[in-house]
Amino acid sequence: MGTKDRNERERRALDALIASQIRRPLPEVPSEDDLIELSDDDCAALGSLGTDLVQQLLSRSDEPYEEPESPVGRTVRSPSSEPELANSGLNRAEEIDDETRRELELQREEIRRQLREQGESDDDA
Amino acid sequence: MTEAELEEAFREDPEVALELLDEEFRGRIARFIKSKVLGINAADLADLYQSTLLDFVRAVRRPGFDPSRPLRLVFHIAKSRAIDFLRRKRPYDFDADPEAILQLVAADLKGTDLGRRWKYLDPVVWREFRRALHDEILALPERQRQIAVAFVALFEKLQEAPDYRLLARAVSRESGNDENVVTVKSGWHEARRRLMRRLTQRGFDFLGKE
Repeated sequence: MGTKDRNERERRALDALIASQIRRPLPEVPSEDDLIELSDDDCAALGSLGTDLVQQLLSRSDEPYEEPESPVGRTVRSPSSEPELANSGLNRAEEIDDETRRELELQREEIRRQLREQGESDDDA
Repeated sequence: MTEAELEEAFREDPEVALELLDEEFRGRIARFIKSKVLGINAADLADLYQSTLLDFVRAVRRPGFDPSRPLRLVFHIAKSRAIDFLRRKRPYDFDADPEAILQLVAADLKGTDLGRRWKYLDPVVWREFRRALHDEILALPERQRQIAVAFVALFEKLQEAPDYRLLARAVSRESGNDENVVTVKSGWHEARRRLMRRLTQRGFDFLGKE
């Protein structure tokens, strides 16, 4: 193989490496190590969504929803195996007030505490 | 927080679990979207994150929602939103068959010096290289960046049939100008040289010389 051909092959290999690394398939649930870092601008834009984003979205979530194709092995719209979830507070669409926000924060803390305690007891076991 | 802990939170109180998801995983989900859409700007990234979370909220509110493996579902939705975005903004670029590109790449690397050096690198270096490459593509001058983004998207087509008219059309769409084949092709060569130079300066000397 001549030098020209060899150089051309190395160039093609470099192009392939560049494209494959940028378009590399990611795991279904990627770890932090798999992912590209955010810039300061990204962080600022994401931060501007606010800390009550979920509450804002809950009030918008009655709008029509286009369901994505299910991931392999998972049914997004499954038979009602968890009926209690269907009747949870998520079916409310309402404005959040300060009292509700405080209540949610307390609930979050309580779940975190329970998860921490559970993690510690699992470690002890 | 782990996925198992989040799943448990969904079983206990879905509304609080959604708050936890947003609080604990906003950054990771956004990084996933950024990894899927090369060169996405901050405003579009925030919009895509928001639409991902909105779709997830709707899925959670549906009767019969299955709370097992919630992260798997939310990343699946994020991927779908990223593909929708690419179809809208860059119709030439949507991750059609990730396996096909891997096969093509394996064939292109086989028997080359670069392929041999790459094969024996530590996976940690692969990861660092990937991030550095992403950073350096985004740091290219605007026109070269547009060309590089389009080149990466069109890679298989260009390897199978090196018709740079495709690349010129894709770059025209990005730049809004009528791009010509010769300047786009030389623009890619210049972008590649610059990438190699910058990456070599950052210590990735396995790339060899252009």
